[in-house]
Amino acid sequence: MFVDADVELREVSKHFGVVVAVDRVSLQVRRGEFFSLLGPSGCGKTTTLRMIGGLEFPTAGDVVLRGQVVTDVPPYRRSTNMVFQHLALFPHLTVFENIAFGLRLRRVAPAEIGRKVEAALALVDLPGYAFREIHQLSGGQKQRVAIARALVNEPAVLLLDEPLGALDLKLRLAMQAELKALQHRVGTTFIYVTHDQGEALTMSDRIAVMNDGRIEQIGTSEEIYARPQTRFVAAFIGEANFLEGRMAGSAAGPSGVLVEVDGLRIWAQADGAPPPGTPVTVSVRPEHVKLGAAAGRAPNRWEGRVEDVTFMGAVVRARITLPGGQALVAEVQNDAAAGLAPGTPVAAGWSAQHTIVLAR
Amino acid sequence: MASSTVLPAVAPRRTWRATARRLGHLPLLAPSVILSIAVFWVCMAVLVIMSVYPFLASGPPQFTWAAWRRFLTDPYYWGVVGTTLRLGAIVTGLSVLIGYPTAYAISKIRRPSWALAAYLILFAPILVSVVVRTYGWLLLLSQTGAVNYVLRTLGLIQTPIPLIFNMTGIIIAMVHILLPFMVFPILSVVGQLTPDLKEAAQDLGANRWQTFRRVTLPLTLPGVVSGSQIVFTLTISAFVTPFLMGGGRVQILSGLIYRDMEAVNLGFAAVVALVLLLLAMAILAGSNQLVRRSYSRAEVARV
Amino acid sequence: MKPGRDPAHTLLFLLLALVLIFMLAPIGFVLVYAFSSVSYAIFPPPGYSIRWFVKLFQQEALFRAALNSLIVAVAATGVSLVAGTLAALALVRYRFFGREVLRALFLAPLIVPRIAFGVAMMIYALLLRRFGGLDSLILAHLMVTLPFAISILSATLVAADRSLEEAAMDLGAPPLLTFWKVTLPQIRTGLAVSGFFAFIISWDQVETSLFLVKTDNKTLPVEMFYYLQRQQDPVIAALSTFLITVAVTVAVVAVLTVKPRDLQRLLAAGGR
Repeated sequence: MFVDADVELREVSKHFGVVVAVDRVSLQVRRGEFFSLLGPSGCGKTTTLRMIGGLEFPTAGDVVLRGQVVTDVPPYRRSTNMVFQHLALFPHLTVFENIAFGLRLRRVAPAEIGRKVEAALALVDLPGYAFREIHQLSGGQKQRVAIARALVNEPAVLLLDEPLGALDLKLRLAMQAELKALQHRVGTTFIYVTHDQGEALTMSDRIAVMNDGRIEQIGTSEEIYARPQTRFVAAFIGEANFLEGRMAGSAAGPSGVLVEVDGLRIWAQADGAPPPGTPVTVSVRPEHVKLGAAAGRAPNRWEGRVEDVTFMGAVVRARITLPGGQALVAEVQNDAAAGLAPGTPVAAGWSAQHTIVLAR
Repeated sequence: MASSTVLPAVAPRRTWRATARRLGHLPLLAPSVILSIAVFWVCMAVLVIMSVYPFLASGPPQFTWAAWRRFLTDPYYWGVVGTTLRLGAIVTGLSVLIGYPTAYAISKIRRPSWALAAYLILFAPILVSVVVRTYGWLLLLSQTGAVNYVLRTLGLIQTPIPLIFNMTGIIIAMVHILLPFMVFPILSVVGQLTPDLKEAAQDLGANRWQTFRRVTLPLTLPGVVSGSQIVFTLTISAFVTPFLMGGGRVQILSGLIYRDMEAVNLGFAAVVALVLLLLAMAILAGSNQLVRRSYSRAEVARV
Repeated sequence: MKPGRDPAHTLLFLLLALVLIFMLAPIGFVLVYAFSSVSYAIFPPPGYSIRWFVKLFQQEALFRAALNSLIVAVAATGVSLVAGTLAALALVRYRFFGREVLRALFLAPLIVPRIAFGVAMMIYALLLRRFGGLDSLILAHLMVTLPFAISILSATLVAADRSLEEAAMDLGAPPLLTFWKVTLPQIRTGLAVSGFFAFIISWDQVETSLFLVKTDNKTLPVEMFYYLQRQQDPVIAALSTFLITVAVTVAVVAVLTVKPRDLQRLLAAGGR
């Protein structure tokens, strides 16, 4: 696929006894990409990352770095470096010695080491911190030292294992922006593990969504959000309404395909839709469900009844019941919520464009 | 080197590195395992063999149960076993009686520096050789020693009472030597008691004694059982203290072994040694049951 | 301070005081007798003198025994630490078939009464014609010290931070270097405590050494034991003074240098 893939995983699996942590994962990461592994706890993303770094070894499959098969190569001989979840800074060494650790092992000349460490500290915005002790640093500062320690070795790939988990919200958001900018500046391939979808969506060039040891979907943030390929992805990223139905007998038309859901005929996106008769799940995101006048002349439009309304600040969420008995959540801007009251009828509508067909 | 990938029956990877990784623990274990087998296990096997096939005794060796029969059929030797077990029981019982309140008291010390001092005084004597400490007791308890002197000065006795070269002396010295081993496990368990359990009992109407009997005691029982296990086993295995303090008048199994070794009855000494070992193992196995049950009851009580 | 004296507590602390006196009594009296002017045990001593210390320094046999004990203890400690660290690494860091059984087997020697083991070792040494040397003593002591070392070092390794080792390897350090620069500093306390216990146990071993000694390889406790059987003059008390002083110094130094929490954890591991 990509000729300039920095990292490639070929049908990689990892078994711990009878537990299958990673199940036949294949992916490619382009050079210079910011690639994220996203998924809930226990989905295998960290194990996958560790296999790329050499801290775990696959039970089956191959790990390829820049064209070389490195499946069995130990971590100290791979051109990857990791930023650990709990940082793993050496407590008995200063900031300088921590960062210089890898350089010293490669017998870089002392003068050169000094220069590189200074450069790395400047890169992470900690100039002059070289001779501090680790315990004197704040959480955010320790984070940067960990990044500097990894980057100073100029690895082909930088691996980050949920590095921002221990930081408070404001700091986390600031660090996200900094990391993204940093990646652009140095141009190194970043592989980033997180369970926070917001984080992945904002920072990544491409995302691999993982669940239960398997990859559900790989794509850009936009692709993952607007065109989820499995129910898991649709539910994990953002929010979605799910309706169970069956593909209608008629073939696809210019406005999309028809799905029959409990007596309602819903227009959905035709891309990759399965043949007629197949049982499917249809998903539409709450923010795409328009209410009242805004429902306009959408192809999917029904008269429903408001069950309840919740004011959430910038948006208002309404639970609607459709004529077929299906429940739907709609999210509208607060200025479009006038007239919504529990028990009142309301028109709800959305486009076929925003209706995704997913396998059951 | 590409590899085939078929799941779920995963065959281990065939690269030499992967194999080295899987077997990496073997060279680490090798020294300890080799030493253990070559020295300990073979040596114990030799002991067992020696008891029925005295290959080092005078005369040509032959397989015989004679040594075992001699031990098992002579009531004198059973008497020695009885004395040994009796000593174990008495020392253990006294250790519990003295050790439990001691542990309790230490746990109640408020100032950490005083608690530390108590720890030190209680446990530091372990650093001093058992020979030295037994010698100390020989001095203290002799007819002209300090204890008799004090008792006579206080007018409590007229003539000095014999406190050494008898069972009494052995018991006193053994309790001194083994008391730390009883206090330590009890202290650990007492340390785990949270005040809220006692407070709950008192809130429900129990007075101090009842709280102790129904809450504190059952929860600290595991420590007592654990300590008793250690003290009992160490008592029946001990040699130096009972030998010196007994002066030849009290015979326990370890003394028998020494006597036979001196007389170069290696085969019989092996038998007595094995009897002692079996006794120790039996005590341990039996009391392990007790330990487990007391722990589970403590857990239930805690929840 | 406390609002009112609690009679039960007072009784308890009184008992504690008595127990502490009980613990110190024999040691204290040995010290007293070391300075007694007469050779028999009598309280109170009629006079004080240092003649027993003078006589002590003339006891060649005791000095030789002390040297033997030192050599054996250092050797047993050294081997225990090395073999013990390796074994602990295998037991803690690897998952393999029979691991728990192996762990129990390593601890098995501690269940055997020392005197029984001593007899067995004598027979074994005679069989191998290695009787009467320091090597059989070292090996015998090793069987008792190694389980302690493995137990304490295992507990220490479990508490060590593996991610630091992974970080070192990730940064390019091969396994041996990682062990040297990252693991070893972390298990420093465990090594010290294991070494300490091993040394003390070997130094004070009587029953294990009793049947392995001939003319030249007597250890100090055995020599003292024989001396006490022949005569009970205060020379032994004088010697004990030195031993007690060393023991007390060590205890005080240990308490002052090691962090109490680590010490408690390690002592618990050793106790088990």
